[in-house]
Parts: sequence; structure tokens; C-alpha cells
Amino acid sequence: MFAYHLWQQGEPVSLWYIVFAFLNSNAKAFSTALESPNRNMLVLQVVTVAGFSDAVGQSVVLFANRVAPLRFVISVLISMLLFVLGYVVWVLSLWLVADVVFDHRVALWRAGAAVGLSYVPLMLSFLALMPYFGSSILRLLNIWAAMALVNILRFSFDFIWLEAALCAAIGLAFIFILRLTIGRPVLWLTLRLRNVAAGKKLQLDLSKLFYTDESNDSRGE
Amino acid sequence: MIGWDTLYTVLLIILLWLLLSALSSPFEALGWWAGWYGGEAIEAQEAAPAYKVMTPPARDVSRYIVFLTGIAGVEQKIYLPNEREFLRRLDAAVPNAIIVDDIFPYSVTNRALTAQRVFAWFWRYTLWRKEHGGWGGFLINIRNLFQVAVSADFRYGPMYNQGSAELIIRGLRQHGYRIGSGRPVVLIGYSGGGQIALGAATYLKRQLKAPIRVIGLGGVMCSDIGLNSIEHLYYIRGTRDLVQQIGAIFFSGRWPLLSGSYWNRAKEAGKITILRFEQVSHNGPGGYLDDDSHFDDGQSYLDKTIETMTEILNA
Repeated sequence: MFAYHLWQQGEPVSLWYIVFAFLNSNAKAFSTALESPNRNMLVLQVVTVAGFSDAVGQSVVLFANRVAPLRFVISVLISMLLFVLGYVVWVLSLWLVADVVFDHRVALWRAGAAVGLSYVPLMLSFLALMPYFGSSILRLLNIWAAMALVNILRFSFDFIWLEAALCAAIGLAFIFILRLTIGRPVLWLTLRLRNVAAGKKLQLDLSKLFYTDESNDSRGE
Repeated sequence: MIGWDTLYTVLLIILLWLLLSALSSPFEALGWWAGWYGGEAIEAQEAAPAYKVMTPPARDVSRYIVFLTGIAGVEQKIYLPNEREFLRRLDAAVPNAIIVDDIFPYSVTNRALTAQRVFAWFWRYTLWRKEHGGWGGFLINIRNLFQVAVSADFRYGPMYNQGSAELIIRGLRQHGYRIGSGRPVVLIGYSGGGQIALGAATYLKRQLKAPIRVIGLGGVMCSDIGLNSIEHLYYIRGTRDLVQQIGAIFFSGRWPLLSGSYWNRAKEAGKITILRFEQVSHNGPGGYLDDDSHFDDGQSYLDKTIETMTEILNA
């Protein structure tokens, strides 16, 4: 059960304070963030830094597509923005699932704080740049973030473990369904936005870019 | 006496160095590929006419050998005395072959660490430290080892390896190789040079249309798609060489349980021959190129390496 007395507002805390609190205990970080008068700004900082870090970590796609330097910077910023939008969708999804499936009504800002803080591990997404081990590191960070989310949902939504895990899983499934149905135009729009920023049609799948017969035929022969 | 605080600080600096070195390692290849170093990225066919083409040598050349130095290298010129001696003897042992030995395989732009770089001064100092028995060798090895990891990376590899192939082709042309002649090419990759050789093989094969064989001398190699493009890989491994085991341990495609990997499929197809050198280590005294260490029959380690390579080259 989440300690509601912790809702009393305390002193503003810095982003790094929250990060270190998170590494120590998810619950402590969450309660500290909630106590803080700058909690919304803190969550926004976590999500934005994670978004920037993720965009930098994934920037190999931009290099592979031979994007010019200025467009590269714009593309990274666009990726960061899309990451933040993805966060908003994720929050709404979990908030809806908690309400509709589990009949737990929580404040939207509370859901936002819970999901936002689970993004702390993703602030290290730039480590994906590391050669050979980068992709594995990114997978581990995502697993860490997923585990943190379940943990935070447990005390922020007043769930038991199984409910928290199910809520996250159903929320994820919900987003997948959205992507395949009414979210398609939005996906198309985001792709279009990326292409406009890059100044060319981006091939986001590196295996298609480098490892297909078609790509092989287009170079060297 | 060194206190714990100092020790922690030194460890922290080393960790930060490793992290920064790893994170920054792909950018030279990525920037080159993206054409950020001026103009468009170099495509082989476009760039080819600009290469200096030397007159083919008078002697009857049956094959070309490309030597890719180990991770201790800092520039195009082979500067380690034992490598120079190795190349001199190899050249004498296979008189009908041309040896290309002026490629720095740990830079897709073929730029020496000690020149034409923002941090050239740092690498010059590091080299000086190395030559005076200091820690410089460690930093150079780590820097180049990360380039090997870039070559082995699924994402970066295709870009880095195309850059390496361009360098090798340029080197071959400068030594009189005629593209399309079908003349066999043998890539000798010492240490990390083994991975660079395998990585470049796919793109070399496409452009040279000639048989390519690779000799990995204590090579640190991953399960690279380049294995599909070569005729054969001869893998010389010293039983005391711990460095070559980096590849077998860290590159999962080389684990026996992944039977579908390029490495294991090539092995099954008989494309990989492993040649064990008893008691031989990676470098320095007791290494493959050591002329002062001897086998029981009196043959020096260096002579054994030369003899083995000559047999392979003449096969």
C-alpha cells in the first residue's frame, strides 16, 4: 500500500537526486518525486533526457542513411520529440487499462509520474552506441525499465505484483493494437516527419539496408 | 603508499577512458560513410581513377598478399621491428608474390593515429610512452580493439568493412594489381587484423572477382559474413595465445552451440583450417614473430610462422 502521507510537498529535488534515489529504491524515488513541488518538471526531465539518449543511441540509422550533419541534429531532436509523445501514449494506455480492466482509478498525473520514473534506466540508452555489445545493453536497459515500471505500478496504482505485471502487459498489447488499427495514420505521419527531417526516405531497418541481396547489388558491383 | 582514494580515482579514470573510447569508436567509420569528411562518401568505382597506379613489377607475380597489422599498430607504416623482419623474410620466401603492407587497418580513412587528427598529439605522446616501456601500449591496443569490435558489429560492420575494402583495393592498385585480372589475393590478419580481413572480404570479393584466402595469425575474429566470400581461412593459433581467445569467447557466433552461424557453417564446410602452434603466445617474447624462441627441433617461432605461411601460399 502506498504511503499517502508522502504526498505532502517537500523541498524541490534535482534530477540527479531522483536518479540516485531510483538506483537505491524505486519506491523511494517515486515517493521523493511525488513529495517534490517540481515533480512534473522532474518527470519531464527524465523522459526528455531518456528520449535524447535513445535518439543518440539509435543514430546509427541516420549515419547509415547518409544524413547530412544539420539534418542529423534535427532528426535527433525529432526522435526525442517522438519519444516523449510515445511516453504520453504509454501513460494514457496504462491509465485506461487500470481504470477499465482493474477498476483502479488513479490521477492521470500520478500515472504520468509512475511511467516517467520507470524511464530512468533509459537515460543510459546512449550506451547502445557501444560497438558489438551496444544492442544487448539496450535490451537489458529496456528489461530493467519494464521491471521498474511493474515495481512502480505496484505501489503507485496500489496493485499486487500480478496486477501490475498484467496492467503493463495489457497496456502494451493495447498499444500494439492501436499501431495496427487507428494508429496507422499517426505512424505514417511520424515516418513522414522523420523523412522530412532527414531530407530523404530513411530505411530504418539496417538489415534491409546492408544484408539483403538488393542492397548488396546496389553497391560494389 | 597509495591510498584507497587514489586507487578509486585511477580506476574511475580507467573506466571513464574505456567508456569514452568505446562510445566514440564507431564515429570515424560512420562519419566517413555518411560523407561528413568532405564530399560524398567514396564509392569504389568513382574513386578508383584517382588512385595512384604503380607500374606492375617486372617479376612474374602470381599472387598478392595484404598484411593487416595487429592492434598495436598506430600508422600505415609497419613500425614494430619483429613485424618488419617477418615481412622481409616472407617476401624472400615467396618471391612471386607482392606484399602490400602500407595499410593502417584500424582507420577507414587510413589516417595514422599520430597524424592528421585532432588528438594526434595525444597519440604521439602515448606512442612515446609505449616506446619507453610505459602504459601507452595499453591505450593503443584498447583503441584499436574497439575498432575490431566496430568491424564485428552487425550495425557498424557493413560501413566499416566497406571502408577497409576500399583501403585494401587502393593498396593493391598502388602495388600494381589490376582489378578484374582474377589474380589471387591472400589477406594476412595479425591479431585484430584477422577480423578486419574477414570483414572486408565480402566487399573485396565483389570488386576483385578473384579468389581470396585469409590467414589469421592469432586472429581475433567474429562469425563474419565474409566467411561466405573467401576460399579458405587458415587460422594459426598458439596454445599460449590468450588474445585470440577473445574472439572465441566474446563473439557468440563462434560458440559451438550456434550451429547456424557463419563461422560454424564455414567450419562444417571445411573452409576453416586450424593450425596449432604449441607453446606460442600472441606477441613479444614467445610470440608468433619471435626469432629468439625455439621449438624442440631448433626452429624459431618466426621461422615456423614463415614456413607455415609459405606452405599455405604455395598450396
